[in-house]
Amino acid sequence: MIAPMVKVQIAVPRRDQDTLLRWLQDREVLHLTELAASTGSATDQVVTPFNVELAHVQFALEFIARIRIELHEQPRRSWRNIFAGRPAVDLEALEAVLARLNVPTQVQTIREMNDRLTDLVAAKRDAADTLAQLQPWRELTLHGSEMEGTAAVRHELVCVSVAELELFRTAVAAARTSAMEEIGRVMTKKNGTVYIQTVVHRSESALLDAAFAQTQAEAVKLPLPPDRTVTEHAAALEHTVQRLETEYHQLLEAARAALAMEQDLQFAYDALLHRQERRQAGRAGKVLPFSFLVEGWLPEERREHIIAAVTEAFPSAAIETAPAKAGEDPPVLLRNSRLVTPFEAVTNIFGKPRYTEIDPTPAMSLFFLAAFSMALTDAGYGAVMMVALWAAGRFFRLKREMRKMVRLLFYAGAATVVAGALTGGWFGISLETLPAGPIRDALLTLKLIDPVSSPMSLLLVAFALGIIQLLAAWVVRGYAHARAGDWLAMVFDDGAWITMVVLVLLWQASSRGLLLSAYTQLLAYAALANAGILVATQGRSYKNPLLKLGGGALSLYGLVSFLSDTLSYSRLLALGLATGVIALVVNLLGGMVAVVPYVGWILAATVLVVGHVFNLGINALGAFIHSGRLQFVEFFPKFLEGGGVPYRPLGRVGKYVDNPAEFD
Amino acid sequence: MPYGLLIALAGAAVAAVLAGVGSILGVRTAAQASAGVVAEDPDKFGKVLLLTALPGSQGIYGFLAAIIIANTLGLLGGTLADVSVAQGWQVLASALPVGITCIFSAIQQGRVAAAAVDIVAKKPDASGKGVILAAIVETYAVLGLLVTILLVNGLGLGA
Repeated sequence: MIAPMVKVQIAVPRRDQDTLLRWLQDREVLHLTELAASTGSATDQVVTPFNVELAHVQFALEFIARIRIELHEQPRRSWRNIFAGRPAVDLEALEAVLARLNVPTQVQTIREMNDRLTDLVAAKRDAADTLAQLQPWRELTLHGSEMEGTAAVRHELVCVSVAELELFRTAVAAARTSAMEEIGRVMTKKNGTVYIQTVVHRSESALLDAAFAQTQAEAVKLPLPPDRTVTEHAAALEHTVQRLETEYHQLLEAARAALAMEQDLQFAYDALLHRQERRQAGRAGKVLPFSFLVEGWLPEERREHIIAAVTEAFPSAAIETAPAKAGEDPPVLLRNSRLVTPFEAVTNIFGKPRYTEIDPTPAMSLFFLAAFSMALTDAGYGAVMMVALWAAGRFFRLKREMRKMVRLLFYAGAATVVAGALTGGWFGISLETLPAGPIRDALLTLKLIDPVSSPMSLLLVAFALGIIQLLAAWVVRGYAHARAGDWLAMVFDDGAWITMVVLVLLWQASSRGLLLSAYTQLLAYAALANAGILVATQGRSYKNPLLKLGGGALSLYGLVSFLSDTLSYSRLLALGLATGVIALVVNLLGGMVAVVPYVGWILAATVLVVGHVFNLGINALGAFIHSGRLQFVEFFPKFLEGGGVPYRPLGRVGKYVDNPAEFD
Repeated sequence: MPYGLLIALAGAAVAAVLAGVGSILGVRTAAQASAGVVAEDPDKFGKVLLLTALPGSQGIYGFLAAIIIANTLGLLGGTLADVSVAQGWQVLASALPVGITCIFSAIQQGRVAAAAVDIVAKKPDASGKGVILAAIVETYAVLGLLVTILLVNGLGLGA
């Protein structure tokens, strides 16, 4: 059902504003509504002190994450926490960490480390770049100061491609005073570069320029100090790179201390984040000269408890509650019995119903299980699911929503055991091939339908499930109409359609001699009369009498929709067969490798385990999605509009820390 | 009659190959979109993996149909069925529904899944809705598979 909501207003003295919001945030009870003419200055909204501080802490955490990778220090996570890895800490403890931690100092320390590391990396990169640049010129014996030539002689270092070398050589040779020496050569697959030094008398400088113009050759200036040769400078640079490398690692080791700060910083980050959430929540409230007022929705069942708790925590608070008025759109919280609650996970995928609508979860739950089990139809797989999910629930730390899903799949596994037993699906093993004995006899007795040899019977079962669920949709809609006092709609829109479909089905069955074969004609007349009632009543919303009749006649098209909705359930047969046949193939492959000498049984076991796990995974996923779809597309729209606002109380959406309340 | 068997085998091949190609293309489209989201936020890998895997099911349906045909023909053990040319064509025709519906639905489902990956990126809480949207495209592949199974079964070759 949908939990009834009450509107609550709480007023406290202004000095208690943050304490009240924190109290509410920790308990996650009040779905805040925006109070008209809420205050909050414009500057408040752009940059809060929390934004800046959050960015600083974020920076520090990113630095630590980077250091962790470089130091190969990955945090260890116990297997219990695979599904919920974050620590669960209450708000008070987070605030305590924030108060204890001197965030600006810590961030400053980390920032300094980061700057030094960045500088070292940059210096190392510079040195390495220069080294790479000098590499081809290693054979050059000149000092840096000798590169400029003399008053009479021009000296150039030149890079030219192998392809253009001869062209450049000839062009330079045009100058009588020129000389050229190849210093080195770097070859690539297609081409290569030649490194040359050349001299020419300055009077013939123009000829050298012409050589540059004719080719793509480039003059090079080496980053060389005046008193060093290339080899000397390269050696010095190599030494520098090594020194920087050592320094970097020393610094990295020193930064290891920062790793210990990680959790504190994470707590501080979330504490700041929650402060920001509270500030935003505060804006939804109203700040009066002496008091602070918040308004929100609360599940009615918790009203007494919360009022008592607020009064105790804030003796000077004033509280007022009021039931939802017409025209208001309270948030929607689904509340169901322990057995039905897990199925809310399915409803939540569709979205929440409106506050005034019906919670479809209880009506849907059994149909979902039936559809899921038909789409999987293997008792062995169902049993494996039950064991695995029981273990997951027992041994892993799971959030409330996750726990719902685990329990839902556990039920689905149980239903699959039943459906599998009825169709003789046990890991795809053909029951007839089992050794004779009581087990085989028992399993064969349980088996009612063989999906592979008589798929048509299973198809009929799928259609039957569809027909029952679609009729149930009208029953639910009738209930909704009755609840709203719309008796006319209940009788003519819901009741008349149910009798229509039932009569048509009975008439068809009777005309085929399946049942009530003596009453075929009577049933046909009854169906026609029912159709007449539908034609007469379904157009009643129109004013024009012609339209009334036309609309009524057109409504009979509903029978076609009913048929096509029913056909949609045939997917259950296809999915069920898919599981069975793939399981069969896995067993076949296992049998094929089992005959390999010595290691055959290992291979067979691997093939069987991997194959069946894969098959279970892929088909359980398909079964879930398609059973869900049948609810969302075929069932819900008959009586549900959806689009309700989910109940989202002011709470904590942490980045690094979970709320312990999410685990109870 | 060896020609009959050959044509029937072509049927099995058509089912597996068309559906497989569809899945390859569909998964490719979804995976590209997923890679973009994972690049931004590696924690969303689980959610986008589900969407990426969805267009893969058509390949399995085609595979399944091929296996059912092979089984009917007695290729997976037992005695080889005696298939006339006419029966061979019948098997080939029966394989078309699954092959053709799967290749198109997988490609198009890949597109829907890629769009649904956006939901995971922007509104992770609503990612279940994206899965359902993508699954709606798959309906017709499932129906194609169903028709093929019923047709092959109806031919009664194995019996």
